[in-house]
Amino acid sequence: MAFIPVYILILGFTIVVDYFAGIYLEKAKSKRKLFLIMSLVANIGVLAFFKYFNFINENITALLKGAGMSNPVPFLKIILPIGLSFHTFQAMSYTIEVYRGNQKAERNFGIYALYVMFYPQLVAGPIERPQNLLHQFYEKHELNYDNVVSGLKLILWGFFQKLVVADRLAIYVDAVYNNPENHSGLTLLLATVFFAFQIYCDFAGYSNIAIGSAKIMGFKLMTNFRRPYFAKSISEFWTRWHISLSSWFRDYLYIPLGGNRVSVPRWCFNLFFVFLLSGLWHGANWTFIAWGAINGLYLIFSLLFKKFNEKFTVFTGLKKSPGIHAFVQIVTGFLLTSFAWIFFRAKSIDSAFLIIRKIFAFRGPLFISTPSLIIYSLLAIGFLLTCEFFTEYYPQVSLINNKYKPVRYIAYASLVTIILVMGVLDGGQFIYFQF
Amino acid sequence: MKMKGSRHMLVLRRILTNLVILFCVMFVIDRVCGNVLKKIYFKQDHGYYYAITYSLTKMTSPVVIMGSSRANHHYISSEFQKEFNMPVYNTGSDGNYIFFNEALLTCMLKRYNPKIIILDILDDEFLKGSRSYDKLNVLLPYVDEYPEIRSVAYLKSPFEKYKLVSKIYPYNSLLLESLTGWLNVHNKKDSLSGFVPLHGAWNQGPQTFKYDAPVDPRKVKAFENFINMCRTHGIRLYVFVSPSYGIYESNQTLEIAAGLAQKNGFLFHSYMNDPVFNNGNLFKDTRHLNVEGARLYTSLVLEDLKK
Repeated sequence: MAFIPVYILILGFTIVVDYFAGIYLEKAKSKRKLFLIMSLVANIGVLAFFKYFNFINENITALLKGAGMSNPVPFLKIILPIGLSFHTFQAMSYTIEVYRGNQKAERNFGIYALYVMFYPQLVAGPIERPQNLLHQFYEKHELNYDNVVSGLKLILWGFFQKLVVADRLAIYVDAVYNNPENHSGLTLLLATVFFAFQIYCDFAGYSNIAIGSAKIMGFKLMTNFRRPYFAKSISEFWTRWHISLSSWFRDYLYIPLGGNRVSVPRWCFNLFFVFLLSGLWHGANWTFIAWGAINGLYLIFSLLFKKFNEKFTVFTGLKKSPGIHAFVQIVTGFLLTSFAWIFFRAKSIDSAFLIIRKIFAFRGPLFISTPSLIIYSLLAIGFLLTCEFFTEYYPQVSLINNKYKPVRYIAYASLVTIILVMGVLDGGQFIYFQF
Repeated sequence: MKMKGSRHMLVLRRILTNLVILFCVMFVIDRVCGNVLKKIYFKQDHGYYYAITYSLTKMTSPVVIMGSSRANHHYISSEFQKEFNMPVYNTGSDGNYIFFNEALLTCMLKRYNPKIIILDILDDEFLKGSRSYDKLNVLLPYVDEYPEIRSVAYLKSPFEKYKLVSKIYPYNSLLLESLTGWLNVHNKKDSLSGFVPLHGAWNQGPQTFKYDAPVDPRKVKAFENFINMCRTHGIRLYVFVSPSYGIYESNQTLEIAAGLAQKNGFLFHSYMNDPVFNNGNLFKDTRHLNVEGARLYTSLVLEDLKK
């Protein structure tokens, strides 16, 4: 990551374009679509240039090489501006909503610029909608005790997720995934499970810190994660994971494509296409596209086999034991998402297949660099899951929101102590900053 | 307007009061937990952290081997002991780079004057990189007792001195290690004067070592400080770069070390690219000699010292 001051001009460019696009979209009686397309082209163009130019060029070069030709277009030495994918999508949601008539064009340039650059969520979301955020900039925000307290609680939980869980697991995951050829199937399986929790806590941790910071100032940002690994199906998972991005794709791509109100083949195509793009949004690499495609296929299969699944549940008797049924669904969902994460984390498609082959061969010893690392990691995951289990199923049992003040204070202090004792305090980057 | 202002003040006062209460609770917990962690940490009688405590606070050997894990696995203390006919201790351990060795020598000199120091530096010791700064966390439990090493420990990050307000922080991520070192769960005793032999051979090819980082002047300065302390206290210093199994690109570390050796009149010898060690059977991995490799290397170093 590098600080390049001139990159502020990129942000400035899209802000100016979208600010005027919004006003013209509102004023114009004809050619409204043209203004929208111009704004979208400007936004996607910037994103495509910085994020996908070299990727596209690389693939064209490979194709031409296969045909015995050379590619005259040179590769560019460009660094991806931090948070570009996030603020580009936030800016696009503004012009689309103005076009749809759901949002008035913002006349105050400063307010519009603030909407795009609101610091808590500038670099890694949540990707806000104008209807939720813009009006808040006009409201007077007084110091509110409840906002400060709940904001600080979110920040504290975010730090726990990032420092105690994500950064601890990252040590093992990086060691294994950086050299998959030297590790056994069992080790790769453990690293994959660890990565599922690492990526969740890394991103949810950041989101909680961002949402908490905004809340202290009196701003309400949308929830980005709702205990995704407690989802009972893949489709439910996507209503709990990176909600601001999933709902963005739903509202601005999936539904305009026809959503589920079309023929089944078209519905399947819509799902697959949206997830393919969602994968591409995460990065210019075939691994991300494969990750998106796998998730798309999961949804298509769950759609096509819905009736079979229902019959299977009755046949196995799971229907009669809802507790066991829910547990089986949660574990199955977790295993499927973890399988997809292999592609997300692997350096290349070849590497991902190597990891999968090794995992299914299930041979070799478990790599334990230091036993304490594994113990800390398991303790962190155990603590996280216990807290999330109670929040999910028994929200009334809460230490941090307990009605007795001393209990709450001991809970806060214990959480800080756990962070100090078990957290990785040497500074790791947030994974989602790179998108 | 006035009403609003006073309501604001009430909210602010409520927030501040509660924060003060929370800080007080946190302060007490931090002190209590910090002291418990400190007790457990210093009760260890085995393992990596015990070896650091012993080196920093107890060791009084007249001949001391210093450096990273490579020093620890490459220099057989007993062989040196036979040669010098006096106690030798190998303080080398994982991640002990030049900053750590500067701090270690400072602590040693507070207790006693060693006669001979054999320092093993890495082939990229003076190049920029965060590893040697990050590893300074091992010094944090000792800064209260040895204020002289604070300046070195503070190199870890610009906020280190503020973080050290917490008494838990120096023992961050050390609870399990401290417990295993205290309870001696592995039932091991350190009996080889610090030297830890590695077993097994490297059956893959040599590694290519590339260096693209520039020189870090702070690391060179730490090395100069180290040399000056040895000179002022009349300690004979020998500096080595022990072998790795690989193909090297040259970097400025060797030139700097050789230049300072010539200027200050101490022996410097690099075993990088020495053809004797172009053999995977002498290595545990590309960076560490196994016990056979260590025997050969120790004999060569002893010949150097005799010369």
